[in-house]
Amino acid sequence: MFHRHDTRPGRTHGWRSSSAILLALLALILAACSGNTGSASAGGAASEPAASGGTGGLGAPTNDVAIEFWTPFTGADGDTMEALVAQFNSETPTVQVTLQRLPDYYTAVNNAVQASETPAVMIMHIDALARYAAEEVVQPVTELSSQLGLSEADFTPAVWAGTMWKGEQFSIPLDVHPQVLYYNSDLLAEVGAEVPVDRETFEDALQKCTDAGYDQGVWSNHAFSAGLTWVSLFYQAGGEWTNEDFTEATFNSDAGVQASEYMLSIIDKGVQPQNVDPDAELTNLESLSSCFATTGIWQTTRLQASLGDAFGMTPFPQIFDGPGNWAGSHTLALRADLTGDELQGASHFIDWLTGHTVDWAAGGQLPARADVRASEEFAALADIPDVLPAIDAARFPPPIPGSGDMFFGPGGVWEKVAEMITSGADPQEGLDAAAEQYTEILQTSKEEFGY
Amino acid sequence: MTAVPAPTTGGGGKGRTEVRRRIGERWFTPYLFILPHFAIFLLMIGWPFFYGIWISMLDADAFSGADAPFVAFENYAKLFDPSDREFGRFWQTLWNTVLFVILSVPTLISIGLGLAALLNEKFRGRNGFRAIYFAPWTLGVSVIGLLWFWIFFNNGLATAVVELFGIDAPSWLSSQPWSWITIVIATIWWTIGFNTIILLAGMQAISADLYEAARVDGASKWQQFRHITVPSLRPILLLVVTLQIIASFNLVGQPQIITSGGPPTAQTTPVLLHLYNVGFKSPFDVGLAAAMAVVVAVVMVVVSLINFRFFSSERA
Repeated sequence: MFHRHDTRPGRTHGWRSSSAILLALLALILAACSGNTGSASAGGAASEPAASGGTGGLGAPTNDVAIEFWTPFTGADGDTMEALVAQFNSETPTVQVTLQRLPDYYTAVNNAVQASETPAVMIMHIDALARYAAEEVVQPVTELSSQLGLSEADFTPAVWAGTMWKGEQFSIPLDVHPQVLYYNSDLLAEVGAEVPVDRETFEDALQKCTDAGYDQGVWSNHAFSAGLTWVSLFYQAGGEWTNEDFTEATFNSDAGVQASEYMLSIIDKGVQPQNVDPDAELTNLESLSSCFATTGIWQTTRLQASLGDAFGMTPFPQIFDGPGNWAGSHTLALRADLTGDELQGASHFIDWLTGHTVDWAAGGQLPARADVRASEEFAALADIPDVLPAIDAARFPPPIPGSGDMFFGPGGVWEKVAEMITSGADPQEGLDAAAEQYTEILQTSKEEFGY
Repeated sequence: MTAVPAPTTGGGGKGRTEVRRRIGERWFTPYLFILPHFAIFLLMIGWPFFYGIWISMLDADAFSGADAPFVAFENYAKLFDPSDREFGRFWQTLWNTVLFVILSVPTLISIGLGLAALLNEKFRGRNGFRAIYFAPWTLGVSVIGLLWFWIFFNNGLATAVVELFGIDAPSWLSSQPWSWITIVIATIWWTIGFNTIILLAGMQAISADLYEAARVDGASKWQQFRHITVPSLRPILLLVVTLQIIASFNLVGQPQIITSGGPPTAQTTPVLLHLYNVGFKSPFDVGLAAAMAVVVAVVMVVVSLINFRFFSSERA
């Protein structure tokens, strides 16, 4: 915390005690960094590769088990998950799942690992999974997948590939959350623009909206708005994050520069302000000062509520030749040393949950499982099915530890894109600097984790 | 901590050199009295402090904990090697923190002093005003952060007010220098009450005779303030300035909440937020974060010492 002072006035040697307080404060920060105090527990939960075979199965175990399930779902998505877990618990008396909704999620997971308190089931974002697989926090689920009869065809090739680490599968995908383009259909009708699907319709609609005074553009200076836009454009232009053996960052390629220059051209046309506060893309859409907002699909329910019948959403438009749409994915992973009835109960829960994701989708997600996406219940949902095509264009960072950092990390692409759009920094120079830094990191990381 | 007699209060001070033994008192009795505090101090402050220094010499991450290889000063070398990728961001964020100290300390001290002088006057509703100025200090950083975030956010209150005067409002939260200005304004509003109350208490301890004598000599209000109030307040000013520097150095919450460290990247990220990100977010480099904390601690100690020297030499 800040500004909690020693309150005794008039002590000329106050600086001494103050320094002590300050040192104490720092010491506490340092201590916090180290997680728990006992060194014996370090890596304890992960020390034994799990014997995942044998006892796992499709049905619920006959003995009672209690399963801890940790998630980062602190908002409305957490309420949806709470309801799903309650339904599971009532249908499956022998397996009782306790849901935890944790802010600052990976800090909590890391601390739990240090304290040997790792939960049985945890959400892993697809770009975080490889690190936890490499650190043996989570166990392989290749065998579980085959027992559940799940294969690549039940998901999409991209999301399936994202759950792999060193040839083994480490988690089961729950959802895919692509970047989408939200729009106000009333305003589009008013200015005579159609829903953007490609470069021409996108620029035409932006121009018409701007001319009509709905001129706050489409993205904000947020990694989830301008940032994701860059990534989708980068994918569409054929960009690859790294070379094939993950030893060189290649996002400073032509595709990266093309993506950057396209964004700058939109600003130059005067249809996108240079500076839009983070999250203001959403309030601008809500307050009718823009026709569009782009960010992740997870803002769906908020904007549905505020725009009502005028609400509309579509995949990010096809600007360049190839398919490409930024996406993330929540996947379900199992603690490394989970065995026996607990493993069976947790496996049963994962199977049940990934098959019951229609309600989850309604909260602003696409179900990872193809059978759920093909169901009538899913087709009957409001709006969400409109962005279904995005799942086929969805791509993810390479399945290696820390790959998401190339974009979101310190000195990563997002920072360079942000500097470029807000202060006119040169795109190629910025991307080159980031690529140089991350090539170094990739090489260290490859050595450390041996892939 | 050394016990130093409070200045100016006078009266009742017994000879401090006199050592008296009460009945049943043994040589270790005083130590027993400080034992509970000392034990907690060792456990909660002393040990973690040295443990933190130890961690800073390990190649530790969130998964290895303290079972990491010993690398001596390798983490420190990264911070002092201009060709290292950690160098630029660390010094940039440290400079951000120093910049905030430079911006906030003089403002918070001078405004605090001015408010204290006003509140020291006799007028109706004086206690009410004192309470009002102090009230924000009792709030938490999240409350303050969100409040000022919404005031300065896109087309919010601040923009509306500025536009009343026909001026085009800037992007408060995502352009420089405005993002720093919003953070400083929020901090002044939040913490000014503390400095004001402490300085006010100091002013009330100044003998009224001095002012009366000055008035007889024909001194103006300003001359009284300049030649009586400020010099008499010097020890308290030392305390307030020192505490303010330390508090400003510990900046974390306001940029984290108001600007997310932007606009939009690290321009308002203070060093303590940076080291938190390094240690607690991917790639979870705990050893490096600990090394940063030690370097920051050294900087703060040096600054505090300079501050103390500065005040005590002027006093001589």
